[in-house]
Amino acid sequence: MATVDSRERSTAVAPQHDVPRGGVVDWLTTTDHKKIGILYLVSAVGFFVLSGLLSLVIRAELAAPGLQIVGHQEYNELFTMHGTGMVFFFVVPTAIGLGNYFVPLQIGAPDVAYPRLNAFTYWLYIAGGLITFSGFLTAGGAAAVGWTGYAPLSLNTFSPGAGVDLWIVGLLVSGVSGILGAVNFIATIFGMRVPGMTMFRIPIFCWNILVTSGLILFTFPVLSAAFAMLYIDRQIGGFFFDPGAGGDPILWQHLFWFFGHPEVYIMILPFFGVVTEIIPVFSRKPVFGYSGFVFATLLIGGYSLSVWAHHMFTTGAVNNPFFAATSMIIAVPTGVKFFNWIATMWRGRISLQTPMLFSVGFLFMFLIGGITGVFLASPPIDYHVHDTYYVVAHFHYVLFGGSVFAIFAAFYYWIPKISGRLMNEGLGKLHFWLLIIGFNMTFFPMHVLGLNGMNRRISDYSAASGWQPLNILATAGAGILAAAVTVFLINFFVSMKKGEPAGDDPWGGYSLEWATTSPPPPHNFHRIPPVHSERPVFDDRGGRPRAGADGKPGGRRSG
Amino acid sequence: MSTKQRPILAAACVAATLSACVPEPADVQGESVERLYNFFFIVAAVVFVLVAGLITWSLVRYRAKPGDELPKQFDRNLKLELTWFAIPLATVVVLFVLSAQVLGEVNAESTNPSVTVGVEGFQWGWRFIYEGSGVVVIGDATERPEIVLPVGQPLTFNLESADVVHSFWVPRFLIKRDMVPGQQNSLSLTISEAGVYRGVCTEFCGLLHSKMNFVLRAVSPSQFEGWLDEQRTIDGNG
Amino acid sequence: MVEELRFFLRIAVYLVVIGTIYWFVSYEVAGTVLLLFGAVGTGFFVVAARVSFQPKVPEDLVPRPPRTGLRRMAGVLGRYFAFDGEHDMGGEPAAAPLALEEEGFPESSIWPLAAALAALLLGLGLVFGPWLWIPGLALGASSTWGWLTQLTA
Repeated sequence: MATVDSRERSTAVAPQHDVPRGGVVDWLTTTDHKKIGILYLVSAVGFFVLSGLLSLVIRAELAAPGLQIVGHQEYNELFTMHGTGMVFFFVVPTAIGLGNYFVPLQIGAPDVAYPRLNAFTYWLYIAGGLITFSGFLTAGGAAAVGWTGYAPLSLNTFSPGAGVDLWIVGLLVSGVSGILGAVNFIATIFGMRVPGMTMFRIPIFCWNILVTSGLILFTFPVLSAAFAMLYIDRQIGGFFFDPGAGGDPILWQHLFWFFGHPEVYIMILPFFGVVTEIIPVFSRKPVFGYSGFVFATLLIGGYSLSVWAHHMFTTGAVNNPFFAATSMIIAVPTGVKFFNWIATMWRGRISLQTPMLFSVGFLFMFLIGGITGVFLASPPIDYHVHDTYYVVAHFHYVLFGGSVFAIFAAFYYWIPKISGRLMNEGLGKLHFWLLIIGFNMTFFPMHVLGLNGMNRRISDYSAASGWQPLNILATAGAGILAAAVTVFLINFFVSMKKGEPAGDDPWGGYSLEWATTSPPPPHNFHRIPPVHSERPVFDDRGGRPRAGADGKPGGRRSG
Repeated sequence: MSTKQRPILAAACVAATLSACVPEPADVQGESVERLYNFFFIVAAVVFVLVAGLITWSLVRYRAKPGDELPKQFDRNLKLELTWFAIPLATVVVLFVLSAQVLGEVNAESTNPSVTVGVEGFQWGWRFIYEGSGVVVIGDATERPEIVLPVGQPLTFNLESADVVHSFWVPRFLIKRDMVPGQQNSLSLTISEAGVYRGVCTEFCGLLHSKMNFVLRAVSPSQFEGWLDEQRTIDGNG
Repeated sequence: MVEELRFFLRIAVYLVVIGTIYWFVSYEVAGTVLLLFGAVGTGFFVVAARVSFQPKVPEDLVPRPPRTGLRRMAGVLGRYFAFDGEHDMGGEPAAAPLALEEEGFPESSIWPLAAALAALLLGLGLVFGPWLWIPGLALGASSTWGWLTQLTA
């Protein structure tokens, strides 16, 4: 095959400065997108564990009526910081970490467009996380206003103390991080693709990162503005949200949710992308309906800007039919994705190794979460289930069942590339089953609890309510989830020490990251295969599946 | 793996069908909501069984075996893709139209309510003011208020907040409405079944949000009048 | 129009349309402003960035016969809004406009970390007082200077 387009990576790379390789200083001053990606992923998992521990205390408290473990105030801090930690400091940074590591590789670039800016966004994220969580160290405790921070509750009158101020400032700082990161991704994807890689040959993962970055660009500034206004109200005598002085609490909700709803798509779109990478490879087929995926992603991104007030149906202050219509329509492109995923698997040759196992789990769990979302989009139904555990169930199905399952899929798929070592399949399967069983035990009962009247964000409930049995089930499930995550962490550390070498392409992948070593060299590629389709590595193999030494299609060892 | 997944799916379906219903509505408007919810549930169940079934089928039928060759590499089919765009679109249009209809019924304000109750939420209790009769019922986190209302007559609740955003919800009514400071919301409904119902605040409002509950007793109109008279003599009301 | 710009143009048009519909169904100011300002900002970007994204027309592009009526309208719409790779007039990056020179990447830099530390101090200072944000400002100024003047390669 002619290699007219292949670009030999010459040695004309920037001369190496005298920096220590791999030491602390190297990691603190790196501008290499791969190292920054690793930093993001490790930090994000750290926040996952931290926020997860908070949720374990929540579940322990809710297992029985009466306050056994924490008081009301502490409980309110727990669910606030659990939500904040997970949304802002775990899910989105994981997406950014994966994007950081793999977008340049997948488009054949040597790095992102703005490497120092890239490093800056990481350290800003850490600064933001430290500021936000430092509320726990203050006398008044951390913010206790819910991750949504509704006014007037979040104003000074009702939430005095530094906790909320630190929460605001920390999120402002990490918001800037997100915006700059989005700029970087867009510039990279638009400007640094290797010749031959048109926009319609980039992997779907890159498309999803692109649309996610667009959403971040549109909505993080709105959140930052809202936070600035809240800060002004709290500290400088403003009254944007204080009805007593002529302000409007509903304005906060508009601003917050204009950000907040696209935020949940920011939290899922990159992981749709991950799953769209994994399913074709493990089905031995090309992605079905590439254009359809692009179309659907663009539609979801665009529509998500016009659905926000479905979170406000019960306020009596918004046009319910408008938002019901837009919110229901957004289910359609998501459905297209589902059918395209199924069509990708259809008549393929599916091997259920851990990346695919988690992707399939994602499909089932997100299906449920997506369906309950359509219920919530109907105002009369929402009038019943809004602000109940039904909503808690819904968003955990899409965020945990969706994003987190896909995150683990991404980890099993890509950690071999990042580290050069395969993760243990047996432990991976154990992790999967513990996770899916624990997850459903924890969150499925919450649908029932919500329908039957259990409202959200309550530190306690009465014995007479009859809610205890399902709450005990949920708490038991949470324990199993903790075990699942522990198994994953053990697998990770053991595999890093003793895992089998992965080789360049353990899975028989299609996109350019599989054309280089595991881990890649500093400048990413020694040789980039020519790009004539959206599956350059597959084409480079002559359109053959990679057969492993064990003869299994999709084989785990490279030749 | 596939044979292990089937029982899990089956159990999930059974669980969902058995338990994920709305409580029996105690108001007229709630009955429309219940019908809507049940319709949605049927559609959801069909969608779930269809999609989950297709996924499961692919996993079973197209599992790779050692020595397999590369399968046919098809990657597009315009007709299929348009179909699975159009059918979900038509489905959500139907769901939307039905929702809009029920929304109109639920939000219809009584032109001539028999009883109008001003409901004021505050951190962390309730003040219920029976307009026209001067009866006021107040309760808080330490002592839950209990209000009495007549069955079968149109009622209007005028909802206000004294401080932060609260929300008024009697789960058996299947309808909630927020109480936003600086804004008056109203909720009209007709109770259809006598009984004792719990009510909660369902918008996080601070420290004792979990304790901001109330009890609503629905009785016959004559019993309600009796209760009202009783209340008027207590505490110098009216 | 290259796909990179079409990406933003579609969003701008959608926001104008939905923002207008939203205004007339709700007369709600905040949401309308957010949607329409989003459209304005995006539209501005598309106009301003056209210069950087001139497509390169490959020599072997077969000229199409002129079309009339609906087909012509569809063609024009497709040129500006379609997401079909076959009509992508220039997404092929032969000389990608934003590509950096190979020697352009600084291998390492202390300035991102220093600037983030400045942000940390500034942020905490907003809550706890000038004894934090004044040093934060100083560190911020010096790391900005250091960043801008760091020689690459």
